[in-house]
Amino acid sequence: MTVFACPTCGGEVHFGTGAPYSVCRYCKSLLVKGTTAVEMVGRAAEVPDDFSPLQIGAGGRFENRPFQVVGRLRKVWEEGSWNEWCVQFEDQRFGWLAEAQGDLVMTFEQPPGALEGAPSAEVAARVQPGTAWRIGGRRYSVSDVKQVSCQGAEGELSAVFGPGERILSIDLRGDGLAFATVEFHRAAVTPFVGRFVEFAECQFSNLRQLGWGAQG
Amino acid sequence: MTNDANLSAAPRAAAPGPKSINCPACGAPIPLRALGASVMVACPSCRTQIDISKPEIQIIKKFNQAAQRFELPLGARGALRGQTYEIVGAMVRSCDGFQWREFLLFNPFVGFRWLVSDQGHFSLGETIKDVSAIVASGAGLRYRDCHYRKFQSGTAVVDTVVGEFYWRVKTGDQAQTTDYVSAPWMLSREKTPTEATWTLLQYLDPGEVEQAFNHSVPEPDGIAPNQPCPSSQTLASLKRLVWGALALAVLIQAATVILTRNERIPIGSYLPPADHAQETVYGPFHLEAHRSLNLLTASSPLNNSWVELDYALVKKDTGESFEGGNSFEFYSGTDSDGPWSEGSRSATATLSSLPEGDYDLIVDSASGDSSGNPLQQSIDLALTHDVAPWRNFWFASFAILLYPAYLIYRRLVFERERWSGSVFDPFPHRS
Repeated sequence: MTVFACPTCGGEVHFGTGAPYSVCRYCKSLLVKGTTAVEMVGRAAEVPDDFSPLQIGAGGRFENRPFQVVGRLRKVWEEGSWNEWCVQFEDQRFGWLAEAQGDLVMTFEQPPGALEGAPSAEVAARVQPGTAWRIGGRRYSVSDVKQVSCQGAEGELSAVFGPGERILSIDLRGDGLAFATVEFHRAAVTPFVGRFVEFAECQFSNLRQLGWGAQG
Repeated sequence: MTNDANLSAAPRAAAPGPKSINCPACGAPIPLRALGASVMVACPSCRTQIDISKPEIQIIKKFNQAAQRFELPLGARGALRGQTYEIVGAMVRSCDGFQWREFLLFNPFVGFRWLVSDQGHFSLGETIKDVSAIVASGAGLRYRDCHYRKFQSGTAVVDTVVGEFYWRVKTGDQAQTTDYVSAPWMLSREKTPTEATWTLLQYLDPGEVEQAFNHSVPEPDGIAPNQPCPSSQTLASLKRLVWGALALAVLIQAATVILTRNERIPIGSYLPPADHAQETVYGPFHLEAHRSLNLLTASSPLNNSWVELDYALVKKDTGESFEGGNSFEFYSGTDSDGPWSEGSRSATATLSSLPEGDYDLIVDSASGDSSGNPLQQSIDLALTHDVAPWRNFWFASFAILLYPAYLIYRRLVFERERWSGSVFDPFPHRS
């Protein structure tokens, strides 16, 4: 556990997971960890309240590997918003558990080269749904192209994009429950691959109490 | 690994209280039940459609209409198929003048579901994630080992909206819909210019919905496209029993065939005597099996003649008599169409339930040829002792299959009625 003083408000900021980013819980400063000090990247908006049963500190399992929820980004596009929960596995690896309209998708960041013949952001912005892309040797079909920005952030995060920044986000569907997202952020292309998961299969623990009977 | 103390130090607010906004058009409070997941809400009082995806709420479309009555109220909670849901939105849609209602259900743990209400029939729907598992199969589709047949397609229009939705639904929104049916399931595809979604719907008994939301619902009308056929369900539940009973009957019959002696005992030639009153006695024969079924076969190469034979098997020790008879006739000739023949040159009589013992066979006959004289030809007689009876087997099989056959008929009637509502009706109808 590494504790720093928030350069903005002086409050304690924890970097407990090895994630490079952390949001100060007092003043919402978005901080990045350097070798000796933390630096402020920007200010995160408070995540608006919702009826998500997940929360930072919740535990779960993905394909028999336990993980813990360590942070959250609230992403927004012109037709709505969703949660991206940053999760960390026991081997310190991070994953992203997207929660949109009650559907859960677990994805893992891939090296930029995983997307074969990656187009430029300008070309990608005009890609038609149904177009086939190959990521990590697997075939996916573009389902959704949208401009995304961050509405809020909390906890510790393996990756962020700055408040107010808009990035191009392309969702793809593979065979069965396979799912992929490719983010075009400035010059960087970041593919994520994974799949839909069922709420029950995640065997969540320490969920938020929602007053929904047996489920909490 | 992460530090629990740190992470659990600042848990989020425990229970989110009931959230609500005030309608920017009429001022009525609007409860929000799927906060964070929904992007629009239509005011239950004036039906004004409001964008709630951003902190500053905005009117999408203004209305000033009296609230529409739905058979289930917004905010009602109920458990369907083991899962509790809250009704957060409702809309009326129509296609070619036919209206139905769709309720949006929400559970924060499993997300959104649909409760579709059409003519008093209900289906619970879920958006399909593994769309690639839907494959074309003949004129229909295959999905999760079920074959679906195309039932209906058309343009569905949103007529009325109240409550919350996870996309910006507006009155007048159109979608191309195609329904595929495999009762109790229905696959429904909705296509708009920007996306295509598939929903898997499962038929619910109206009583299930009534009980779940503790709210009475109207009586269903007609047959729903994905309503399970009751006779089909009874058939499915009887399937094992029927096959089991048939197999048992076959087994018993096979054992009977194997265990019966089926012994051929030649009796000899019989020449009808000139004096019909005269009896001919053969024997004695020993019949080994108890309560046996026996066949007495008479055959003769006769032509243009008839013969009637009466038999009596008389048990020697008791004098008990077992009687039977048979007759046959055979004619042939040539006319303008060529040679012809009719009749038979042999016949079999059945003598059943013969106790074991020694028997004499007493035969008398009547016969005649075309000139009215007694038959001049000898008749070959043979007894087949202890043959397997088949009548019980056929009767049992008939009895076993009678009710299933009735159910199959009922199913046909049901399916005809179901598909009469479809433009893809596979049943021929007289116009």
